[in-house]
Amino acid sequence: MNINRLVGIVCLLGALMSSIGCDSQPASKYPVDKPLPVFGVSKMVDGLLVQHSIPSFSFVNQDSNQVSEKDFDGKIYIADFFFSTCPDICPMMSAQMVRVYEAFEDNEKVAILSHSLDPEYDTPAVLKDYASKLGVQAPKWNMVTGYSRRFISEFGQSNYLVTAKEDEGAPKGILHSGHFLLVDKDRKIRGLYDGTTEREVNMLIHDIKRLLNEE
Amino acid sequence: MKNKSSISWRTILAFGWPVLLALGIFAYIQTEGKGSAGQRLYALHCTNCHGEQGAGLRGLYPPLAGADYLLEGGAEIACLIRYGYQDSLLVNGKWYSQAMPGNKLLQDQEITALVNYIRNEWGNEAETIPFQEIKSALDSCKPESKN
Repeated sequence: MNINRLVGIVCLLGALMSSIGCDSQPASKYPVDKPLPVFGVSKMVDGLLVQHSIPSFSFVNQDSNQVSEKDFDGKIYIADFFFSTCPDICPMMSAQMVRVYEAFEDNEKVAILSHSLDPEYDTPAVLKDYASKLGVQAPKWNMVTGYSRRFISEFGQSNYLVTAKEDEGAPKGILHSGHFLLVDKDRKIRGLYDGTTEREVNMLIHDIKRLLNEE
Repeated sequence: MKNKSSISWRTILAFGWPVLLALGIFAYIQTEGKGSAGQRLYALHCTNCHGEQGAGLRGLYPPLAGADYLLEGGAEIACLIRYGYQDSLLVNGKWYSQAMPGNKLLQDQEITALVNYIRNEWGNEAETIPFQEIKSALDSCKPESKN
């Protein structure tokens, strides 16, 4: 009888612990026993295998200043793709990105780069207005434009591995994913997170700290 | 005696878990289905911008919780929900100018449920606006037919 009672108690404890486990979330999105992964397809260049990285770029931000990869030298940055009038996922993405902004507001080694997918409407002035209403500023958070729709869709898909394309059925004809991409100081993608959920963005904030420690 | 007692423990272990599981599923379904129509409509159409707690988003999207515009206003809010709003809106002394998209597929009843939900959630307390009042507000703000 004692043994049976013991078994019962152990089972109950087990059930209790597993139910607590259901509610907790892993701190990091990726295995903690090795460095954060590098995303993208490696290429052979002059007989050497080169990992995927973001190529050079030059855009215009909300202050009408040129923004290039040089502005991110020695920095980690988080990239995403949005547009100011996007009615569905962008408000959630902005709300979550504000959390990242606040978490690293005083850390010069962390920056944010949001690409508008609607460059005709999202002029620097429109982006300035959007950023001001959010209470955020460049250079910590650059919101960029100054290219064609087609260019930025292709740039996003081929370099940041995100969905970004024209689609008649989507709001304003722009279909895009709500991913946040974690990019290291060598411009390699080290993490992909769903920017519409608090849970994934908690992991992103944790992984930014991991990456800062790694570098 | 000993035998009897060990059987009862086995019985608990064998039959207890399915019962617990069934209770869990039942509770889950209850929670999922819980909430008024207004609450479900809010989650579906409004949370993206105004947030689960009705707090809005900084200077971009106005709050609904504690919003004078909502609590001191009346049935005309129904027009804003159905047709959206393109101009600036003064809420608690602050101007908001991000365009609000309309929700033209919502029925009069649904808008009534939504209005009364947001007027009485997150600490908000305001009189319930009857369906007839919402309906006449919606009728009065209906854009003129192009035909």
